[in-house]
Amino acid sequence: MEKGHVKHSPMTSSSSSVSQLLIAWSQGDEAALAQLTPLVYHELHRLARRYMRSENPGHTLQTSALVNEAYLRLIDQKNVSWQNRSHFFGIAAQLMRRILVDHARSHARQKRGGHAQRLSLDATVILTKERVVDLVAIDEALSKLAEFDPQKSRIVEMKFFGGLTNDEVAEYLNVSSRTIEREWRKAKAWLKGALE
Amino acid sequence: MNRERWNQVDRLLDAALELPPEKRAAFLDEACSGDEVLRKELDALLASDDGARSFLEQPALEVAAKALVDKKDSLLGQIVGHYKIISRLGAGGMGEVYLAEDTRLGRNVALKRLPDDLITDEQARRRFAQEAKTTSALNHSHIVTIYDLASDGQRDFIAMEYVEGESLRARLQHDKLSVKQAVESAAQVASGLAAAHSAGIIHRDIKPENLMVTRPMQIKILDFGLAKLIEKQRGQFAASNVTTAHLAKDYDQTKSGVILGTVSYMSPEQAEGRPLDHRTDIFSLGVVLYEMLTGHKAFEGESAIDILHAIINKEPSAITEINPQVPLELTDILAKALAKDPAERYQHAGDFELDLRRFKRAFETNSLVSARVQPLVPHERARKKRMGLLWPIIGIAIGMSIAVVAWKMGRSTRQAERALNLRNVSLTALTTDPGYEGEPTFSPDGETIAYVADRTGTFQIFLKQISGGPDINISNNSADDVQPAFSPDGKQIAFVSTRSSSSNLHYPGVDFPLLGGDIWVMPAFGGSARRIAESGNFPSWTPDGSMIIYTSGTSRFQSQMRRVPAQGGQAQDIPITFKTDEPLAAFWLYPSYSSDKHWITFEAGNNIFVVRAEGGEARRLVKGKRPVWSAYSRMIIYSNSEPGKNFSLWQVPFSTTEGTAEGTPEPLTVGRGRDIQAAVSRDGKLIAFAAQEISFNAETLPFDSEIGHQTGEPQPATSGGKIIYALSFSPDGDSIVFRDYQAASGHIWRIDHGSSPIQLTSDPQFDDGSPRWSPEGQTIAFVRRSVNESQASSGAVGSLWLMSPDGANPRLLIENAVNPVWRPDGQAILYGSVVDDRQNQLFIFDLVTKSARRVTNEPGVVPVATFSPDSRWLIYQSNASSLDLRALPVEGGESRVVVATPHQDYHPFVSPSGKWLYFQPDHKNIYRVPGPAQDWQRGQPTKATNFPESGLFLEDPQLSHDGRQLLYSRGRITGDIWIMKFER
Repeated sequence: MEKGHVKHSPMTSSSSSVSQLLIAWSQGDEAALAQLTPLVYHELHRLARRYMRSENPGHTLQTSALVNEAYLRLIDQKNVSWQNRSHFFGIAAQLMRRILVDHARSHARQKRGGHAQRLSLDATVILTKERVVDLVAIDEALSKLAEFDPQKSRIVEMKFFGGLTNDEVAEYLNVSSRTIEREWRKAKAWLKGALE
Repeated sequence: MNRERWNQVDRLLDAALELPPEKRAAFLDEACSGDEVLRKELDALLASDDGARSFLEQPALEVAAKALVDKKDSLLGQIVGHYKIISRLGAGGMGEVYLAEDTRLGRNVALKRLPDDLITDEQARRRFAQEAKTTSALNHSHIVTIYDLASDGQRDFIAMEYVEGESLRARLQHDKLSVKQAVESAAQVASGLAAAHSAGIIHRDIKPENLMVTRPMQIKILDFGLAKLIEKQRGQFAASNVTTAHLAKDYDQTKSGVILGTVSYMSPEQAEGRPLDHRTDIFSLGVVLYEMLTGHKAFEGESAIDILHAIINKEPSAITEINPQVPLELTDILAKALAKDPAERYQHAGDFELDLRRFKRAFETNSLVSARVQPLVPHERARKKRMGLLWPIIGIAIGMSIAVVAWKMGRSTRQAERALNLRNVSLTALTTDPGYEGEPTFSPDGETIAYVADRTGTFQIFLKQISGGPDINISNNSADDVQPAFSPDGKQIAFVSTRSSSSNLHYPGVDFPLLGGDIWVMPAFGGSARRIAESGNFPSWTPDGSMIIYTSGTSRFQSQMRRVPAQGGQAQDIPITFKTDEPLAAFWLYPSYSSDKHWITFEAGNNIFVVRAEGGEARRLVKGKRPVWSAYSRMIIYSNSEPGKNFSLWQVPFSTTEGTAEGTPEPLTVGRGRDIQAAVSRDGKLIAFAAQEISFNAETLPFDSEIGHQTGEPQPATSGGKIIYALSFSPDGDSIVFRDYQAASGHIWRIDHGSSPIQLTSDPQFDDGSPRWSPEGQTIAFVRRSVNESQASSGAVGSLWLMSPDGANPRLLIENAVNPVWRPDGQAILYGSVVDDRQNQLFIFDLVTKSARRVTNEPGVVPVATFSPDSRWLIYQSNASSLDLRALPVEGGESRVVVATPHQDYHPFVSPSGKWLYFQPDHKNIYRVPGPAQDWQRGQPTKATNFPESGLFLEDPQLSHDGRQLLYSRGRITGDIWIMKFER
C-alpha cells in the first residue's frame, strides 16, 4: 500500500478526530487533551473487555494483536501525511504516556483510598500472577533518564507507550533498526535497575 | 548522573553486551582500570540486562488494560444470580474462581467463571445445566459438590461447594508426602470416584490440579463432569489427533510445563482418542499416586507427543528405584491401576480404594510381608522413643464395612432387653470422612440418622439412611449447627445453632462438648427453623414430644436445667440440688428424658446423675460421660474410660422405681476410637455412636508481636493423634518442650526443629507436666504429681522439679507448686500454690536466696500467669468475678483488672517490648490490649489472629523470646459414626 496517497480516503470519525486533536495538542492546545483522554480510555476499556472475555489473560499472541488494533485505531497513520509521520508518532507516544500514566496514578489513588479488602490467600488455588509493571514508576524513571540520555528515553516512550516496532522507531528517528535494538536493550537495563 | 559520565558508561556497556557473558568480566577489569564506581555501575547494568528480557515488552496500553481487567475482573461485591462475590480465590484450569456468598442459603460457595466459548447457545446452555444437575447429585465427602449454574447475563458461573485448602499440585510443590499420606489421599480420591462412577459420571481429567487438599489432610475432587462438557462443546477428543485439539484449544499460550502436566495424566485410551469409560479415571489416579510417592511424573517427555507416546507404549520407571520407602505391595497395586489395557486394570474405583486401605492398615501395623522397616531394638526404644512408632493413630479401620467387636459376655439377663444376643453383634461405619462426624440421633423408625459433620467448614447437621445413600445437609447455613435430637414423632429435629446468636460455640475445655448458641427446631427433612429458647445446649425431647429440656448457663457455669414447650413459649427451670459431699460440677451436660417420663439423666463433672423429672436432689450413679437411656429406660448407656484406656461405651442397669443403679456397669464396646455420644433406636436393636479422636498438636505461626498480626502460615511442629499441650519454647526458638496427655499420666517431651520428639521423663509413677524452659536455656522446670494421687482427685497437688534439657538430673525444688513461670532474668520462678483457705495464690521463689515469697493475697487467683518483660508486673487469670486478667506490680501495690471480656480470658502473655498484652478469650482467636509499657491504657481488645472460629480450640498460646513466632497447641476432634446392630 502506498501510504502517501491515502490522505483523502474516507476516514472514520474517531480516527480523524484523534489525529486532529493530537495535532492541536502538539501545537499547545491543552484543551485537546481533555477530548483525547476519553478516546484513549475508550480504547483502554474496550481492550480490557476483550481481555476479560478471552479465556486466558496470559494469551500473549492474541493480545498483541488486540493491542496493535487499539493503537492503530488511536494513531491511524493513514490520516497523517508522510512528512509529518515522525513528528506525529512522537506526539502520539507522548500523549499515550501522559494519559496512561495519569490513569495509572488515579487508579493507584483509588486503590489506596478505597479500603481495598485485604484477604489472605493462604489456602487457595495457585494463583499465576504476572509481575505488575508500575506505569507511574516507569514514567518517573524515564524522566530521569531523559536528563542524561534523551534519545533512550524517547525510544522507550515510542516503543513502550506508543506501541511502535523497532523498525518504526528507527524510521522516525532516522537511525538504523539495529541501533534502536541496542539502545532499547540498554535503556531497559538502566530502567530495570532504576526501578528495583 | 552527568552526560559525560553516562556516555562513558554507555559505550562500555555496548562493548560488554557485544561480548559473550563469560568474557565480560575480564573486559571490564581492563576497561575500568581501577575506577570502582564505574565498574559497579556497569556490573549493575549487566545484571539488570540479564533479567530484563521480557521487561517492558508489553506495550503500556496493554499493561493499563490488564490492570483494568484485574480490577474489574475481581468482580468483588458483584451479584451473580443470588450469589454475592466476596473475593477472588484464584485461577484454575477451567477459569477464574471466586468466593461468594449464597444470599438465599447464607452459605459460602465457590463460583467458577466458565470460559466464554463453552456456552455458545441456548441448547448448549440447557445441556450444560442438565449435566450440572446430574453432577450436583454427587454428594460425597471427597467430591466438591456442584450446587448450580448461575449467570450475570454475560457470563456463566458454576456455584460449587467452597473448600478451604490448596490444590494437590500446590501441596506437592512445597511438601513431600509420606507413603501413608499418599496412600490415604489416593484412597480418598478412589472413594469419590467410586461414588461418581456408580452415578454414571466420569471425571476424565483427574490430575493434581483438580484435587483439593484440606486440613487435616482430606482430598476433594474438583470439576466433576466439566471435562466432558468441555469436550462436548469444543469437540475435543473426538478427533483422532487429540494432542493438537487439546493443545490448540486449551493451552496453546500457557507455558510448556502446563501442557506437559496436563497431558501427563491421560489414560492410554484417552491419549489415543478412543472411547472412554470410568476406567480412565482409575488410570489417571494411578498416575497421580505415582507422583505423590515419587515426586516424579509417571510419564515424562520433551514434548506432549513424547508424553502421549510414553503413556501408550512405555512402563513408568520402577517406583522403588526412586523411593525405596515404597513397599512392594504398593507397587503391585499401582501396577494394576496403571495397566495399559483397561480390562487389566482395577475394574472399579472401589476395588482400588479397598486395596489401598488394606495396604495402609498393614503398613501402619508393620504387618506387611515385605516389611522393609526394621523394628527398633528394645534398647534403643527405651532410650529414645520415637513418637511416630509408639503413637499409632487410634481411629483405625476407616472404611471397613463390618467389624465384630470382642464382646465381654454379659451375666444372666433379667430385663427384656437383655435378651439381646450379644454374640451376634455387628458394627458398621456409617460415615468415613476424615473430619468430624458425631452426635447421632435416630429417627423413630430407626432408618435414618441425623448427625453433625464439619465437612463444609462449619458444623452442619446431615441426614443419612442407615442402609446407605447420600449425606443430606439439612442445615445449609453458614452458622454452626450441633446437638441434633429427633422428635419422638420423627417430624422435627431440635438442635443448637449460632444463627442469630451473638456468641460462637466454644469448647470450655479439652474434653468438653461445644457450648453456646440457642435452641432451635426445624422440620426433619429440611425447611425453615425457628428458635424456641435463647442460650441453651443439648436439647432432649420429652417422650410425648411436648417439651424440650436443655441445659443453660454462662461460659463459666452451664448449670441450669430448663424445660420449654416444643412449640415455643416460656422456659422454666428444673430445680436440681446435689448432696453436699458430691464434687461441685460447674457444667451440666446431656440431659435425657426417660421413656417412662419419670427421670432425667445427665452428666456433671465426669459423673452420671439421675434426677426426678420435676427436679430435686440429683443422685450420682457412676463415673462417666454422655448418658442416654436404653429403649425401655432399664439401662443407661454412657461412655467411660478406664485408666490408660480409650473411652468405650458402657451400660448400667437402672431401677426406675428406686432411681438407682441396679447392678454393675458393663462395657459394650472396646473403644476403637473414643467411643462416645451413644444414641439408641426406639426398638433397641441399634446403637449409633461416634468413635472419635481428639488430637492436640503444636503449631508455630510467624508473627509480628508489635503489629499484632501473623506474618506467615502456621507450621505444624508435631503431628499424630495424641493430645499434647503445656508447650514451651527454648530461648533460641528452635526447640519446644511439651507434655503429652494420657489418661493416667503425662510425660514431658522435647522436639527440636525438624526432628522427631524425644521423651524427657518416663517414670510411670509420675504424672509430669507444665514444662518451662529457663531463659538461659540450661534448665527445664516442670510439675510432677504422683499418679496415685492424680487419679484420686483431679486437683492433686504437684511439686516443682527442675531438670536438664535432655531430661537428665531431675530434682525437686518446691512442694505444693504448680504452673512455674521463669522470671525473665532466670533467677526466680513464679508459681501457684494452694494455701490454707484452699485458694490458689502466686509465689515467687528466688533461686539465689532459696526463699519463696507470696505475691498475691486475694480470692479467685488462677495460677496461669506471666511476667512483664521488665519483671515489674505479674499478669494472671482471676475468676473472682468472671474469668478476667489482672495485673499486679511485683514490688507491691494493688492488682487491677486489665482484661474483662464477656468470655473466659485465658493465657496472658506480653510482647517483648512490653507494649502489648496478648490473651485468648474462650480458647479461640488471640486478642490484645495495651500492656504495661503503654501504662495499661484501656481499650477495646483487638484481634491478633485470624483462624476460622468454627471448632477452633487453641491451647497454651505464647510468644517466642524474640516475639516473632506464636506457639500454641491446636485441638482437633475427628470421628466417624458407627452403627452397632444387635441380632436377636
